[in-house]
Amino acid sequence: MNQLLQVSSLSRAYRSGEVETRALDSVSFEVAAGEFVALMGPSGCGKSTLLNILGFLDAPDEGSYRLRGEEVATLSEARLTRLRRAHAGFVFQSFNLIDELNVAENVEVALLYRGADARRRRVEAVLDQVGLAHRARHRPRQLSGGQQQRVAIARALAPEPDLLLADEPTGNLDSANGAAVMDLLKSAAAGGTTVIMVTHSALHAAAADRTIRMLDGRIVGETRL
Amino acid sequence: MTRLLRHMLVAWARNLAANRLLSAITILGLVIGIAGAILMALVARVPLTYNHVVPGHERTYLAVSIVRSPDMAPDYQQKSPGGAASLIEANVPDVEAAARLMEEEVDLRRGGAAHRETIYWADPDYFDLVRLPVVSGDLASALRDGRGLVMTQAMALKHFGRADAVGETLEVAGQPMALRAVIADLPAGGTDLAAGIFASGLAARSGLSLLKADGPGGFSISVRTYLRLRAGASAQEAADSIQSAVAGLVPPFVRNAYRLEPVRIDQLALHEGFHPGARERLVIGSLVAALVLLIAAANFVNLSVALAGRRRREIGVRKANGAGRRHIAGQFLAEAVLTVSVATILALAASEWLLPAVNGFLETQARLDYAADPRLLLWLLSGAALLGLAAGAYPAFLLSSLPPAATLRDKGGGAAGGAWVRGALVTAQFAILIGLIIATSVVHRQRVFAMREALRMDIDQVLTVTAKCPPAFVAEAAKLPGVRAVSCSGESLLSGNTFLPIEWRGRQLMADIVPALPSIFPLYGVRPVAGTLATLPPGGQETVSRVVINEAAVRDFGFASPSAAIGQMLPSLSDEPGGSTGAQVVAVVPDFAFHSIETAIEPTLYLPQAPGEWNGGLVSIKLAGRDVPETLSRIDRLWRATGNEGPIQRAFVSEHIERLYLGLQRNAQLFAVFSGLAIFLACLGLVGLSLSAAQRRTKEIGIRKALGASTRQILALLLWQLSRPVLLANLVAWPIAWWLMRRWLNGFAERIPLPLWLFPAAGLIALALALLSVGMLAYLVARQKPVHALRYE
Repeated sequence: MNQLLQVSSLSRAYRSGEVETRALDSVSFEVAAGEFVALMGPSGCGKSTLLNILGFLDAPDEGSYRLRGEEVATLSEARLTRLRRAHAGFVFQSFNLIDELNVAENVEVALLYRGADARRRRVEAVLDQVGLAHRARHRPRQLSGGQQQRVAIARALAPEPDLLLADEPTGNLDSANGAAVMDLLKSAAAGGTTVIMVTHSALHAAAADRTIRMLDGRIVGETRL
Repeated sequence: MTRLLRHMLVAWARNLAANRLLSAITILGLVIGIAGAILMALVARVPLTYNHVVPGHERTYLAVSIVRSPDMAPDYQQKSPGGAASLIEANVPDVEAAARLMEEEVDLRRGGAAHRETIYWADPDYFDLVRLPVVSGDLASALRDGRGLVMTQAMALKHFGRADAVGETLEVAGQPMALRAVIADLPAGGTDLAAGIFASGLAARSGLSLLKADGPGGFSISVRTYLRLRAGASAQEAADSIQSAVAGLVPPFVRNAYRLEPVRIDQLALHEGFHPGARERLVIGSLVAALVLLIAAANFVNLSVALAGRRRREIGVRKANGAGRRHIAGQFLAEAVLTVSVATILALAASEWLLPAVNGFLETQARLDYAADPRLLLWLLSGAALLGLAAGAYPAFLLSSLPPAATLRDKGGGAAGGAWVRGALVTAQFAILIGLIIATSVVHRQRVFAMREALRMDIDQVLTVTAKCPPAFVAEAAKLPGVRAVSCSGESLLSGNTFLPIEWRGRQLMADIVPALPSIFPLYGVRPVAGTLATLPPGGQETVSRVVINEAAVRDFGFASPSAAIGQMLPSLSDEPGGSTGAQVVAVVPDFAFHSIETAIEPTLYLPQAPGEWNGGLVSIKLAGRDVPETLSRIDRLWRATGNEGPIQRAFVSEHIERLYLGLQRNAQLFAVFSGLAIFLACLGLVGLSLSAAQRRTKEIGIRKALGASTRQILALLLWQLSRPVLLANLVAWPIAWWLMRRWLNGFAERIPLPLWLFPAAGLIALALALLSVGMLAYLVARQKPVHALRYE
């Protein structure tokens, strides 16, 4: 199988004064290109930390992280920025839309730093894909939570990333909106995008090809559908 | 790229709009600080570009006369002896050319119209030396014959009805002269030339043609002598050669004291001899304006960081979507430059509006004319861009270095970090503020001291009339209702311009000489510290045999004490043949003087000489202080009724004293204005910071209250945290202010002691202002119900 990510003995600790919290403790796993992986576990088990490292937002203290066989765990901040630009899209639990920008402008942010061409058409296309083309000029506060998360997914999909990282994307949504968001993620995975999703919901995890369970910074189980 | 810029612009504008209050506070602070700096720069520009209209001003000098006497402040005049130019040109190798101007008020006639105008009679080669920008005509040859005339455009327009009037004629001092060239108008206040008409000095009735050589023993300075030094020549060497060249013009009795010195024409405006204190005021004003700008910039940095705390999520999102540090830093730098540019445009508008008032206040002629000086706008906009980059650098650095994972995790609008830098900036702002409060107070107290205690006399309601003690007027004035006393003295009582070298026990002493009737002392409330005035003849003596001296003279003559001076004989007090053969000291009065206390009070001899012997005179009239306007009218009527010629020239002594201390007063006002601005800006910044902190800490306050804290305890906590940097600022401000103010006071021969209580008082004022400005806000935050605060997130 064509491996996109290979993670081996990955560790990450946070220090606050003299207290050290080990968020990740020697985590190893692999993810194939186009795979939909769910990460589950109780709060504080290291899911989000792992997701941040996988999305090049953070770097591990120890261990190896290979993207298409290339070691990226020890890269500089500038190289990580370039990797983010080239490969990653993010969806967050709290949507993280910029209040001062409208829906189209929020989506466009994902294209701005990538120097993409025909941005307007791409923005219109992804907004159409998530069913919000008619809301392009609205500000985030004028939308419902579900709509805001769809905008966030449109933003993540706009640059057509290889890797879509979703951190509890349905955590702040009701079941109907949650289901709509899951449909969008499934369709992205079906389109060949690798999706890694952190979730507390077994129902939503069931939509993934594989579920990795974590506890206290370690992988404690794996279920493949 | 364009799209990225547009995106940044949108983000900037919408963020400003979303945080209206804090943005307004930031921009208002910047507008005030920048407007202050622009105004000060415009004012400073006038003396710094003085005479730059003259090409080659770096080599063009004005020969100025300086009379220096031991223990006396030198007397500077911009005029020189009429014969100096030709002697210098012929005998000083470093001088390439010399030419003269002579100012005179003459009648100008054209057709039926006549005007009285001040003009310059100019040597034929004057414009070879001072090549003012010519508009029309041939300037070089304009004054080569006795009929040539040159005018500025404004003067040509005034006298001929059009600026392009070359060839027209005008009668100047009764002789027809032809306009040969028109020069550009001289920048107002930007040159040493006061008149806009230059007539050929070769004209038969020109002041220069009529100028006679001084007779034996005579010495007059009546012309302006301009010199152009050869390239690379040393002004100091030229000055030394000039002394030898003009020695023959200076009579022996002033030769040691007199010096003709070349002063570069572009340095005249800040020359200490002609404009005492101007350089100091310029430096102080620029420094204080820079400090106020610093406060505004510190506000901007602090509030930018505080505001950016709310944009952590935006930064995180941008970084997650591929923005690098460079992008984020670039965005915040560009926003800073944009904000400062907006503030600069508003500040320019404010400066234009305020400039006339500033010019009136400082008696300057600063201009803000973009059309005439497009470089000025370029300078100002470049300055704005630089200020934006400097002020935006720290927030940009701080924000671009935020780790994206952490910013995305944050839910609230936490601070962007750099707490110690923000604390340091607030401390620096308040240190400047405390320093300015101390400076304002010291300058004000020194001014009050100079105008009251240091006088050591009572000048309240004392009027002087310039006249040599006319007997009828003096006698009748004393009888007028509303007049308490009348006495007479020489003019030197006020001007202090008469001094005499005295040979005393083998030493050459220089003493001020003031002829005065004995009654002058009680009129000014001056009582002898030793001896008596009773033995002096009330009407004065033809030949002075008794003298009153001041305490400075007691010290200079070497008497052990004022009492020891009584009865001592001083040598002849006249340089004229047949003058007094000596005078006995009969009284010693305290050191009192009508001149500035920047220089020490001179040893002074008060001669009870009869008014007939004086060169010029002053009648001092002490008014009762009631019905002053009526009393003044009676004095004016009496002046005419007693047969005096010309209009009465009268002034209150207090006006003279106020004129003396105008510079000091300006410094005091300058400090007061900038202190006011600094107070406003620092408090504004503090309000902005506390607004931001209050929003950031809503949750913390809720938790504290839920755990039992009272409103009072929360208020105390908030106020203490805001007060800490203000208290710390005292530690920075006090030593610096102490050192600077001591230095400043040392410039006065008589000065107040530096009051130490001022330092804690200034600190308390700053603290009170800080507490007042944020107290209400802190109270409102502290009063919030915990349930609201905890629901905040």
